[in-house]
Amino acid sequence: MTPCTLIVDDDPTNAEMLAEGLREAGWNARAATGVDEALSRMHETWHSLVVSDVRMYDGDGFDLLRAIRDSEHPVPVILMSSFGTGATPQQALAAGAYGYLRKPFALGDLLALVSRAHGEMS
Amino acid sequence: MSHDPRVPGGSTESLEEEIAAARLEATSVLIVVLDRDARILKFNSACERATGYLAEEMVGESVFRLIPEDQLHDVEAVFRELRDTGRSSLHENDWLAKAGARRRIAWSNAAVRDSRGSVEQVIGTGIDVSELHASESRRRESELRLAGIVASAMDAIVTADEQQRIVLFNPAAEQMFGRTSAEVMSQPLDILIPEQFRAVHRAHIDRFARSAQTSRRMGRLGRVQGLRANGEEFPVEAAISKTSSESGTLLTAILRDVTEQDRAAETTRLLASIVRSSDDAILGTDRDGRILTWNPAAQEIYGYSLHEIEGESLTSLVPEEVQDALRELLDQARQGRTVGHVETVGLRKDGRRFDVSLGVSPRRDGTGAIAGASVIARDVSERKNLERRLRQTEELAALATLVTGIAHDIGTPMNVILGYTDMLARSLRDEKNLERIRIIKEQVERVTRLIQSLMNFARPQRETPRLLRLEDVAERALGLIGETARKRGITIERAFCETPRVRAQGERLERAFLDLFVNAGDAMPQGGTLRVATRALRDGVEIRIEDTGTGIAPDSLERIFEPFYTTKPRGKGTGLGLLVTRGIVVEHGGTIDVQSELGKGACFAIWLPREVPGGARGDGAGPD
Repeated sequence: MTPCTLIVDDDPTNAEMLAEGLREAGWNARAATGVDEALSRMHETWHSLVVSDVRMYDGDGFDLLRAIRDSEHPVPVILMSSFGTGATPQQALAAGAYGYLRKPFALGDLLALVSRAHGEMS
Repeated sequence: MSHDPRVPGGSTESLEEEIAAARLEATSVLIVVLDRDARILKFNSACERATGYLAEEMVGESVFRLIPEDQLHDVEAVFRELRDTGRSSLHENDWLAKAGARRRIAWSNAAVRDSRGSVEQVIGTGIDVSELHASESRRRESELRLAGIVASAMDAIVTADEQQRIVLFNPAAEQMFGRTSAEVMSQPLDILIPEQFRAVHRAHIDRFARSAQTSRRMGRLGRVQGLRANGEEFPVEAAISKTSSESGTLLTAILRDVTEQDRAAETTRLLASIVRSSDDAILGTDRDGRILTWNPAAQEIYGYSLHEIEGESLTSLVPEEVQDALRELLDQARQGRTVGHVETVGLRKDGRRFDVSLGVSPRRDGTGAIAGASVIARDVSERKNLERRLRQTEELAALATLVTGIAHDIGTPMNVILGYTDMLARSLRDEKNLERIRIIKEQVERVTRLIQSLMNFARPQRETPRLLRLEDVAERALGLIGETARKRGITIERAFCETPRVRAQGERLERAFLDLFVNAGDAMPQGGTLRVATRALRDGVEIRIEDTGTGIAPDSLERIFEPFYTTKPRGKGTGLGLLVTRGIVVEHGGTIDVQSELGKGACFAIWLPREVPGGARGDGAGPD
């Protein structure tokens, strides 16, 4: 199965930008603009990795993380958040996230994490 | 009369006459013989003794020479009467002695008639009664004087006989007891004494009457109670004395109604105890503002004992810049005006300043004249600090909410900018555009740092407070700037004391100190001295961070703790450093103060309580 990363952010510009960045680097990537959309996309298609914002209009990145972790086929989840969301790297890792990125981050940091995750999977 | 052969010179005097003359000389009775013109014929030795004149001097002189001017008229009349009528008479008059003193003589006069029956001579026989007269007149005078004193005395005077029956009751006593003298005369003393004290008083007075003592102050033996006609009881201070005469013993009591004194003394005691126990400093000054009185709270607040401060000017209790204002208050008091609740700055003996609320009012002497000022000083630093901390906490809380919102909303757009910039950078090859990309990224990083600072302040990463020494924390922060300081020609001076440990978040505190050290360094571009001093205070510890740099302008001084206020070049300071520092200090329950003079440097003083309020916060619990 071709690895494909799902970017989840209720800010569509950011979600699209990150997906674009991954694709330009040679990865498969799609964007979803909320928890609900992410869950339905994952229901339709298998995704090898999820990169999700923490605080979104229709839910919380941590809830999404738990849902994926508790599903039949769990995949790694990378959480990202702005300052002021109350989320810390420690909390993210403790909740079972594969990685954590604080916005704003360099595209290179995301690419490094994504490639490491996929490398570990294969 | 025959010639006496024993008397040479043919004296005509008889032996009988000689014997009579000798008797005349020996007697203490004054005998003077006058002719019809009042010229002295005989002047015996008693006369000589009484007057100091010798007979030789006086024989042939008019007797009126001896009479004082004021009595001359009367004495001449007495003489004329006797000479013209021959009737014997008794009278008293004064003789002027040679030395000028008056002698009082009581005379019995008789006339000697010639053969024709007319008065030829006058014989006066007199007794010198001067002594008797003097003591009599003294007695009478003293009686009169006593009566006057008794009648006009301010104190009540009551005299009783041995049976304790009233025999004298002066007007003051009438007024004191509300009874007339006639009403109480011969009544028992008991009517002046409340019933429950009568037995005691009676025994007391009896004992005194029997004792050998002649006077005693009863006031010292405990307060005597009096009873007025209207049933009112009142406190009396009494002195009692005793006079014994043939007719018996008289007891005289001099009584003073001390109701008013008692009331005044009670008021004074009450006032004194209020002053003593007051938490406010209460002090009195003379007209020149020199300190005269000083209560225990004043000592507690200012640190001086009365001994140290007595006679010093009131202005020594405030810093120099406030002295004129205080003099103005003293002027107001001198003019009879009271000024209260003036909030200003006080100065303790150890040089520390504190917030003080002053009330200054005129102090008057017994005559109502303004003798100086009364000053009440309340240490309001605790309230002020609390207010300041509350205000700061509220400000910080509001700011934190705002900052959090902004940070959250800025993070994502910045992420988009950064991401697309990265993508662009990958596709670009020419240096010029790559440089532009680099600048965009740099600016994004700058915004990110600003947000980071804001977030550090708004959502601090709290640590578990531990007991630590301020000096150790300061030393770690100094270690971080040591190299930079050396390069810039900044000398670091340490004046560390063995301060007690405080419960604090070491890293947060280190950050706060570091920020102040960096600021101090920035204020000394040409080099200088950074002085870090610690000391233990009564209720906490203090660290002072002083530099010899450019200083802070007075208008800036008020604003340096405001968010985004900076005096550093654009792009250098975030305007948050001091805000964060203050936030950390406030978090520890402490205060931060700054003093500065332009061109002379600045001094930041951080005070931390020994125990952080709610010091258990974070203990054992993880980050929130």
